[in-house]
Amino acid sequence: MALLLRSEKHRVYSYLCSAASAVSAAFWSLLVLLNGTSTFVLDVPSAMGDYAIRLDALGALVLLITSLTFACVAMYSLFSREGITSRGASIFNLFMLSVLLAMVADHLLLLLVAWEATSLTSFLGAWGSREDQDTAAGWKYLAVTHFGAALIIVALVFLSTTSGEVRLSEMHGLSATLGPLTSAVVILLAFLGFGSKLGILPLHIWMPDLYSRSPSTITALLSTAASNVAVLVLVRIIFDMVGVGDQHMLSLLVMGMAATTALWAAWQALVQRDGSRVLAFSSMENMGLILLTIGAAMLFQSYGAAEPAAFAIMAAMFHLINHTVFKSLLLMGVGTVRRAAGEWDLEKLGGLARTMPGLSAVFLFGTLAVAALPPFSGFVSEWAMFKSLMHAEPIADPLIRIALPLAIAVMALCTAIAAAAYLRLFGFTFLGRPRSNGAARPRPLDRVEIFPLVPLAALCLLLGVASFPLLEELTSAVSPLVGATGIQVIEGYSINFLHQGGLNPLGLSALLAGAILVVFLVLRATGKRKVVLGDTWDCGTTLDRRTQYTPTGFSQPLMRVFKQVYRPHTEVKEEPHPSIYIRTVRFEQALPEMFTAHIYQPLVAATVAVAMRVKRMQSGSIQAYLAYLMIILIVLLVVLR
Amino acid sequence: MQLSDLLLNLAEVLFILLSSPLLAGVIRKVKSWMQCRQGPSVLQPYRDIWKLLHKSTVVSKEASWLFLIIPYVCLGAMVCLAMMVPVFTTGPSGGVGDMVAVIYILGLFRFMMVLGGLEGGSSFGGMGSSRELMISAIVEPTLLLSIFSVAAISGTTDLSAISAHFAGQGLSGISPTLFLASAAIFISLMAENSRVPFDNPATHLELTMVHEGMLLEYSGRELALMDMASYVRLTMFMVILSNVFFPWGIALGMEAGELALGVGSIALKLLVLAISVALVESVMAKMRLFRLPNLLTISFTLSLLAVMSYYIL
Repeated sequence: MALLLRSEKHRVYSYLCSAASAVSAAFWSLLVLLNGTSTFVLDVPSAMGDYAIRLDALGALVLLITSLTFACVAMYSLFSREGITSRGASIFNLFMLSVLLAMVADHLLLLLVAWEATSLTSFLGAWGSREDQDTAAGWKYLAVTHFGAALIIVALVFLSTTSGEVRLSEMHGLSATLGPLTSAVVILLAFLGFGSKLGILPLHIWMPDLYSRSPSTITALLSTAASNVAVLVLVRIIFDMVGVGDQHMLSLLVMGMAATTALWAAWQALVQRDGSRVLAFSSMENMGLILLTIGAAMLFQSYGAAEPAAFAIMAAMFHLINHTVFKSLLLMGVGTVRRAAGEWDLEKLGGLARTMPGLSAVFLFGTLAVAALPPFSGFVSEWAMFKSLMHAEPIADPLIRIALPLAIAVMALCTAIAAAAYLRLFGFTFLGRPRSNGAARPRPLDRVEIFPLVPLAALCLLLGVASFPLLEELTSAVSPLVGATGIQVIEGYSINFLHQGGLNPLGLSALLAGAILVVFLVLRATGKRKVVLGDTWDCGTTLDRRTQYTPTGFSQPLMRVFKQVYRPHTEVKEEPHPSIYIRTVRFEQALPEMFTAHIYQPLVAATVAVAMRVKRMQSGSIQAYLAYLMIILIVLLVVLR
Repeated sequence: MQLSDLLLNLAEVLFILLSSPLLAGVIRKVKSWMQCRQGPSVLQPYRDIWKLLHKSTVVSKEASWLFLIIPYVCLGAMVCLAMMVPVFTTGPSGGVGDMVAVIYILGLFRFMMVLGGLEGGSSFGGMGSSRELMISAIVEPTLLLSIFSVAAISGTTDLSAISAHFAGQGLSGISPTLFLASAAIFISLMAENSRVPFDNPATHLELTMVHEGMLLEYSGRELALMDMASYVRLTMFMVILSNVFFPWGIALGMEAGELALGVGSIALKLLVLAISVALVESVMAKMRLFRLPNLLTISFTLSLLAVMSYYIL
């Protein structure tokens, strides 16, 4: 297990160590996959029994990919010199330790402590190293994540006291003893608690700010590793520890919250100017889709359809694994662009594919994967998530049979809009003409800086093309959660569940590659192509960096279509105003932050108002305080008599 | 897959590739007749592609390495699509993906074409790309919901199986769901393939163009590829519409007679669809860009109604 050396002098070694320990964690998960669940009970007495860590097949699959990603991120930090300070290195290592611990924790206290450590180390990592520091972003994150942690503590401690167990793996199906209402409340508490890390509305306000302000290595891990822990534990709580029972309404509520989150995030991702913010909303969107699928699994489970439920969880976990790879790739790619060009604003980037072809190629892989296009990994998992929503047959309730198509519609809309957002991110960073001096002459990249991204890009393709072994393992790992046995997901060479239409990722990729190759060869055979270099079509005016589409202009049509969602304040000023010839035009557009304005500001105002009221009690006279103590003592004596 | 199936699939791909320019020519011819013009010959698209293939390519100095790869990926994706969709027969068609995968292949085509529009930093390219994305953001959910409705009826998303299901049922398979879904798909067909009222394929007026704007920087062989890919896309939409929603006549077995009937029926259906596309284009005017979402929302609602009608009726 991750042995951590925190040598302050040799920072380089500490990153190497973290990469090595990540690889060792990956080996451990491989061992678990081969030999079955492994449990270690640490002989350290705590307040409640012995600490224990446990890794089952599901955890091992997620841990495998997460630790490989960790290794790549560690190598990236080393080569790119991002966050290479003794403080950065030690925080990175601590973060990794806490995430890995949280992923394998089998003891209530260990999980809570590790989860808290994850929050704290990511907060510290996001905190210091950048000049344009926005302290509010960090504090927002800390506040929201602690609110979430409080909910988790309530839920888990309640479960623990009800069952009398501290080992998480010993709690099973507690909904029978809890009753439907209580278990629904517990599930909702856990959902919101872990949702605070995943960006469930309205607990998402910290995400875009933190992502745009932190080093890309920290956000790459926060968006992937921490989310993985959250989803993993959430799935265990919902399906194993508590159990769904027959809670249709709870499932619908979860699906509704997840769908709103995903849709909102997709819309927001489309209009952001900062690549990191696009990716922050993209994380929200992906997590929303994953939770939507998990909600659908709860729905199936609540109607006793265990097999579709298992398939849905399998699809969600597969997407979670894929998300780990492509999102860390993209976040580090955006970080590299930012360091090379010195610009974060999409309005000032462009044309980098000509100056940084290698980076643009790996980034394109990540973009295609996140936009769910064949044959990349995101496509296979999104395909599976779509298919998992198409199993409405076992349910007779007409309301539910209409809810599932609606979920499909939402998912399709999210996918389409989010694909537009990723296209915009790639297109306006790498294509077109440079929109600033920094983008025109970026700092040349060392080859080693891109090197850690290459395995991630390869994984994006590999997880899509050859996903069978992983899918089979995932299916057998999630089946026990819903009490389904002998589920056959792979049929021949295709992912074909219940004979309802299959997908053969390997065949599809081969067909696609073959078709492209044939087209190329046929045209090659007709003779060599003459290529002449020319100018972009300019209608007779010289083109400069301003005479091209901007990212803001690019998203205007969709913004106008969904005007009711964005409610933009647009102002166009023409100067000088009363004149036939307009010399300059000023265009200003502000998007209101709806959740801050309508939820958080009233909340803050109310808290301040209450505090002002309470302040009157603080008169400063010692007699008054003695009186308060007296009153409280009497009340306590009366109540606890 | 057996050798005969493979040969049949290849024959289908060749049929699609060879007939798509003809369909584009037919549409143009019918539109000319409607405007009391003689119009170019139906073979004109072939001549255009032949001419373009022999021209040299002009590449913008500001385009990147991706620019020249995109046309191959686009046409390759369409060839792949032609393998995946049943054309003459409901026999195994490629066997690699179902209808959801088909939509994602269309998505790959669109994504690549839109990226091509952003290459070189041309304003028209950016404009075309941005508008294309607006349209496709609503078309994609429509397509998926329409599929869901037919998948719900036939119990599978496999294209061949859907086709066989409806063809096997005969005329008793007709239901309101089918009509609503096919209407939604028809509107999506017009939108995705840049036909009037969404876009005017005949004009090169900067302010109105969507599809042509994205292709503005392409020339020579690459333009031929992109044009060809667009023709094939239109044909594939028509094939999906006819073979999934009205598959009667498609060959259910592998006998020569059935196959001949299958070839004849798909050719007839494609011709009818091409003529109806031309008629719709002739009687309608191009809509203002920001009126389009209304029409697209109608098609989205139709597809949602299709699903609802299946569960309620």
